[in-house]
This record gives sequence, C-alpha cells and structure tokens, in this order.
Amino acid sequence: MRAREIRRYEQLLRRLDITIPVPFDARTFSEHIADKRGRPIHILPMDTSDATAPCGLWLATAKADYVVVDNRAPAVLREHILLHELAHLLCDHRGRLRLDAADLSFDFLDPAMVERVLGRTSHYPDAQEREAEGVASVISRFAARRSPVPRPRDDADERTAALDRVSSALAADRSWKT
Amino acid sequence: MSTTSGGRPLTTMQDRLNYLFETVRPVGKPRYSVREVAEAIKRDQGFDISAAYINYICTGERENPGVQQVRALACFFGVPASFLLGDGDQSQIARELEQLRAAVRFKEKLQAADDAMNDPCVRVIAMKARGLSPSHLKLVSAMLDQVREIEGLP
Repeated sequence: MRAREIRRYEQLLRRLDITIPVPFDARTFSEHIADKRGRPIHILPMDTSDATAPCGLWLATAKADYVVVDNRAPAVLREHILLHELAHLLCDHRGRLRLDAADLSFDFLDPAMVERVLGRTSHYPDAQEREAEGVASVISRFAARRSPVPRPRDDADERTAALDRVSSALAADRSWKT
Repeated sequence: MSTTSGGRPLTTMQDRLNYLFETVRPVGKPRYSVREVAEAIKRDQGFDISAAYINYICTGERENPGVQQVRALACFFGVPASFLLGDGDQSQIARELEQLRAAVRFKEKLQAADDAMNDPCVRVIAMKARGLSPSHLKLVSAMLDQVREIEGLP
C-alpha cells in the first residue's frame, strides 16, 4: 500500500471520528461504529468452512447492518475479516445484492455464454475491495501501535480475555483524533 | 458417456441437448425456447437453423443432426462441440454446468430478497474471496435466511 493511500485512509477515519478501542477488540470497535451511525450492527457467526477460504459478508438493510464472520477461522483471521467488512460499511460502499459473470470462473464454459445467462460484468467492486482492505489494514496498524498488551489469541482462553478486559478498563479508549 | 451430477446418464444427443437447456438458462426464466436459440444462432453466428430442427433433436426425432448444427448449438450453449457429441470425459463440463445452474438459481433468490427487503435500502456486500463456488452460494443463502428471520420478513 502506498503512503498516499495510507494518508487518504487515515483522513477518512479521522473524518468519521470513530473511536478505536485500546487494547483493540474488533467487536467493541463495531459497537463504537454502530453508536456513531445510530444503526445496530449484527455480527452473525457462521461456519464458512465449506467455502474455499474463510470469508466475510456484509449486508445492510433499512434497519441494520449484518456482518457474517467465520466462527471456525483462527481468531486473528476472524478479526481481520470483521475489520474488512466494517471497512466496507465505513466507506459507505454500496451497490445491489449481486452475482454476475465476474464472480464465477469456469475452465470449460464460454465466458460470453455465462455473461449472457447471469448478466453483464461490472467492475467497480474490485476498487471497493481494495479500499476496504486498505482501510482495514490502516485500522489494524493503528490498533497494533496503541495496544498495551497482546490481544487474546483465542476467545476460549478465559485468562487472557480477563486480562484484556482489565487492561481495557485501565486504558481509556482512544479516539482516532488524538 | 457422461452423467449429470445427479447421476442421470447422458446417453443420447437428445439427453445432452435437453441437459443443456436445463442448466444453461437465463435468470428469471425456466429455459430458453427453441425459437430464441434459433434466432440467437442466426444473429450471433450467421447460421440458419430452424426452431423445428432444434425441437426434433430435443424430442429425439432426429438422432444424428448435422455437424454444423451441432457446432452452432454447442456454441450457443457455451460448451465444446465434443460435449454434445458425447466424446471424451465430460464430467468436468457437467460439473461446471451444475455450478452455473446453482448460480442462476442463487441469483433468482438474491433478486427475490432484494425485492423483499425493499430495494434500494439493501446495499451490498462484496464477497471476500474471488470465484463463487456452490458452497459460497449456500453460505449467502443461509445469511439471507438469518437476516430475514431477524427482521421478521416473510
């Protein structure tokens, strides 16, 4: 990621005035975002292991935002997926629920036929994907710099989780602006 | 000889063409009509084939259509002509046709959800992984079901 892009994403986060929790916790972070936007964010843990790689999804309706996070992926990856989807939401990415020829790749079927059947390919989501990935990594870097203790690696690890809660209470949450 | 993923054998030209009509269909319609196929072949390939001729293959009245006709039909359905002829290993092509069939069904489900959730309030999601497999589609379907339940949608 180029320095110019990093600056742009940092500016975006400052403008949105989103509080980044210290130590970082993606769920707390999503609650801050929900408060700021005045819209609930439902995190739906689902088993995505059937899919070729763990993945995340974000869907916004008139009432709320929904983010699917793989509940079997390693904690670090799970957090990154959640951040990536939250970044889509922060960037106000939009479009329609969609599936078109670009989402499928076949070795034998003629792409022209696939496009005729499923609809024309639109390219803008790639730019949105890059932007979401960039924003997510800027947030992670910020979080890593400011985190006083390592984050718990696993939700099941009660001791580190407790330690994390204590240190969270000690360290005041830091706004992006400071 | 190839089979569908459901194990149905595709022994004859009739079986294989009907299978293409079932799997390669436009979103929102049960299948292409023979007339649509004939017109598209004329328009895109400049080749004359009558709707009746295609229908004869579908009903089994014509078991050995001409080479050019087979090529034109294969081209329309986006598969190698060898698939229609029943040559070689066709299981990979059949697998892709099943994926396409699943994708078309899924797209119909997405559009139904879009309507139910009062588009344009529904905004996107982009999938993180490139290349949607049938299991990805299942995942999104499951997500939509959960969202509808939470929002009390029909």
